[in-house]
Amino acid sequence: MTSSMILSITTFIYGLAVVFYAASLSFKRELPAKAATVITWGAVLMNLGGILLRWYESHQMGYGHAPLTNLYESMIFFAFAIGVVYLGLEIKFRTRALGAAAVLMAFIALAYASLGPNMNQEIQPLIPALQSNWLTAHVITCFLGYAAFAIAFGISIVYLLVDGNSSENGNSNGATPGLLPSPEVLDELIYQTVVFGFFFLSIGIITGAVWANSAWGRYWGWDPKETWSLITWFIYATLLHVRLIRNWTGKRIAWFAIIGFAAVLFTYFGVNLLPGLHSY
Amino acid sequence: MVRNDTAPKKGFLMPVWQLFVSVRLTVLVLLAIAVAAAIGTVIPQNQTDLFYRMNFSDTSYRIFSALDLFDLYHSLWFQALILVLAINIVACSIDRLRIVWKIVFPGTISFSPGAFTEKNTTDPVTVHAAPETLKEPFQKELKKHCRTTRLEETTDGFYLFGEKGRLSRLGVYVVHFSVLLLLCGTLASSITGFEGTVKIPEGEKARTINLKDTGTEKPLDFVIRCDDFEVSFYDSGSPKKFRSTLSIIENGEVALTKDILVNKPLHYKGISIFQSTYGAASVKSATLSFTSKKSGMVYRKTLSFGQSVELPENLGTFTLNRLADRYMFREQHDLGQTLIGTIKKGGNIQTVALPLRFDKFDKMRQNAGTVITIDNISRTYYTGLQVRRDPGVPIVYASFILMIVGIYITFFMSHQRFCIHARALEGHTAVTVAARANKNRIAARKKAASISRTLSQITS
Ligand code: HEM
Repeated sequence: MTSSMILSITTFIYGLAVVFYAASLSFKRELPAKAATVITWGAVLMNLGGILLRWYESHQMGYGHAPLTNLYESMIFFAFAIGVVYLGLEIKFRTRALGAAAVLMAFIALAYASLGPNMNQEIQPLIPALQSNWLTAHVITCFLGYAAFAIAFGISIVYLLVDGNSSENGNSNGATPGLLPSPEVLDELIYQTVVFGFFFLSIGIITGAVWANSAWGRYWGWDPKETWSLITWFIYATLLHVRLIRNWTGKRIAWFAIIGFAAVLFTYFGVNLLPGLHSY
Repeated sequence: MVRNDTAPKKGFLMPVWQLFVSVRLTVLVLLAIAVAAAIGTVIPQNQTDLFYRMNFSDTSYRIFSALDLFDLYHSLWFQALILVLAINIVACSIDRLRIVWKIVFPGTISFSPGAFTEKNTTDPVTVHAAPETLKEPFQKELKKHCRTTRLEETTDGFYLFGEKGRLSRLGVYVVHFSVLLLLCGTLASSITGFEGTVKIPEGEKARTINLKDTGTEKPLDFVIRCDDFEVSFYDSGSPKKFRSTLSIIENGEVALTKDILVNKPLHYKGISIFQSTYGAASVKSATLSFTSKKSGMVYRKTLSFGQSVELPENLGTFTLNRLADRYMFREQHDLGQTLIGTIKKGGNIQTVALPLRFDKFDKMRQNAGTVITIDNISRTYYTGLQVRRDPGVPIVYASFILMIVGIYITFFMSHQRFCIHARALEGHTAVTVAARANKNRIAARKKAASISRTLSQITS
C-alpha cells in the first residue's frame, strides 16, 4: 500500500462524509450527520496516515523530508488541515450543519491532488534552500490559515443561499430551513473562522519571512507569491476592520470572505503563472 | 461600537485630522496598496531597459515608465501610500486610545447593573438559602473567573460584579504598534543596510563585494577566505547540499572560521554571509581515455594542466595545456569550455580540442593515431556568497513577535464583565447572571450560563 493509494481512498471517504452531511440537511435528520462526523474523523486520520506514510517513504528513498514541498503534497496537507479545522469548529460550535460545505472543500482538494492534471505525485529531493524547519512551520501555518478561509468561504456560500431564501419568506431572522443555524449564527461563524485563518496566515507570512531571511538573506523580496500572500492578508485585514469598526455583517462580510478566498486561490495556483522562487 | 468624535485639533487642522482618523481611509489605502502590489506581480520588476522596450509597446512603455511601474515597490507614490497608512494608524490609535485608556485604567472601578442587558442575562435559578449566606461562596466562585470582583448590597439581596481581561483591550494597539515598528525596521534596512554578492574560488580570498543595487564594488572591513567548498548531489543530478568553509581575516589574523550552508549563514560584526550559489571555477584535472586506432587498446590517464604523458604503441606525447572558456567549431558554433592539448609525434605537433560538453568530439580529428575522450573532470569550485548588512532585522523580528502576540490578544481574549444578582425570594434566593463583553459575546454568555449552573448547586 503506497501513500498515494491511501490518499486516493481517503478522497472517497471525504466524499462519503459529504453525502451523509448533505443527506442530514435534506432529510432534516441528525442521524446521518452523526454518522458523517464519524466518517470525517476516519478520513482525517487516514489523511494523516497517508502523510506520515509518505514521510516514511521519502526516508526510504534517502531524501527524508516532511511531505510539504510540492503542489501535490501541499494539497494533501490542505485537505487534512480543512478536515482538522472543520472538526474543531464542529466541536466548538456544536453544529454539524456545515459539514457538507466544509468537508466538500477537503474532498475537492484531495480529489484535485489525486486526479488533477500536471500533478506530480513523485517524491522529489529537496534543493538546499527548502531544507529548513522554518519552511515546515511556514507551510503548516499558512495552510491552517488557508483551510480556515476555505471553510469561511463554504459557510459564506451557505449564508448567501440561506439569507436569500429567508428574506424571500419575509423573515430574515427567524426560522431557517432544516438544521441550519440562523443567519446570525452563520455570520458569527464566518467571522470566527476568518479570525482563526487570519491569525495563522499572519504567522505563516512571518515564518516565511524568517525562512527567506535565513535562505536568501532578505526577509522580504516582493516575490509574486510573497506579494500575493500580503494582498490576501490585506483583504482579510480590511474585512476585519469593516466588521469591527463599521459593524459590517451579513451579506457584505460573506462576499468579502468569498473575495478573500479567491485571493487565497490565486496566491496558491495563479501565482505559478508568474515567475518566482516558490516551488508551488 | 460608539464613535466618540473628540478631535483635539482646532481650526484648519481639523479636516486633516478628521481625514486621518477615518476607517474609510484605512480601507481605501489598504485596498489601494493591495491593487498596486498586484500590478507589480504582473509587470516584471527591475528588468533591464531593453527588456521593457522589447516587451511593451512604445506608448505603454512610456506610461508605465512615467508611473514608475518597473520599480513599483520602491517608487515614491507606493511609499507615500505606506506613509499614509502609517499616519492613519497613528492618528486612529491616538484618537481611540484616549477613550480606551479610561476604560482600561479607570481611577475607580465602578459597575452598574444597568449596563447589562436582559438579552445577556441567564434565566433565574433558585438557590435554597438566604442571600446573606451566599455572599461568600458566590464571591469565591466568581473569583475563579475574574481577577476583580465587587459586592454591592441591595435592600433584598446583593449584586456581585466581576471583570477580567481589561488589558486585552490594548491588544489592537499592540498590533498597530507592531505594524509601525515593522515599517521602521524596513526603513532601517533600506537606509543603513547594503547587500552585495561575491564569488570566491576555493582557497582564495576576497575583500570587496559587488553591490546589488548599483553594481559598484564595496570594500569590506575584513577579508573573506574560502578554505573549502563541497557540493553533493542527488541521483537525479540536482544539488543536495553545498557547504563552504569560510574564514574571516581581520588585521591579518583569522578571526573566525565557520561552515556555512544554505539556511545557515555566518554573522560577523553586523554583517551576514549567506551561501547562495556555487559554480565551477576551473578544472583541476581531467581523466582521459586514449584509444589506439591500430590496436583498439584503451589507455586511461589523469592529467593536470601542463602535465605530459608518453602514450604507448609509439603514439606520441600528449600534453594537457589549458582550459579555454570557449571554442569555436567551424568558426560558427561556440562549444563552450574546452580542454586544449597537443600531441607531439616526431617533429609533428597536432592540437587537440576536447569540449567538456561533447566528450566524443575527438573522434572527428583527421590523421589521428588515437581518439581521446573525457572520462572525468575534477573541478575546483567557487562559492557564491551573498553579503548583507541589515540593521533592520532585529527590529523587524521584534515587530513580528509583537504582531503575533497582539493579534492573539485582540482576537482570542476579551474584556468580560459579569453581574450576579441575588434577590431574596420566599426564603430562598433567585439568582441571575448577566454578561458583557467587548467582543465574542457568545462566549461571554456561555460563561455566564456555566457560572449560573455552578451557583445553583451551591447550598450555603
Ligand atoms: C496594515 C495594517 C493595519 C492598518 C493600516 C490598520 C489601521 C487601523 C485604523 C486606522 C484603525 C482605527 C479606525 C478608527 O478608529 O476609526 C484600526 C482599528 C482597528 N484595527 Fe487595525 N490596522 C491594521 C492592522 C490591523 C490588524 C492586523 C488587526 C488585527 C488584530 C487590526 C485590528 C484592529 C481593530 C480590532 C481595530 C478597532 C480598534 C478599536 O475598536 O478601537 N488592525 N486599524
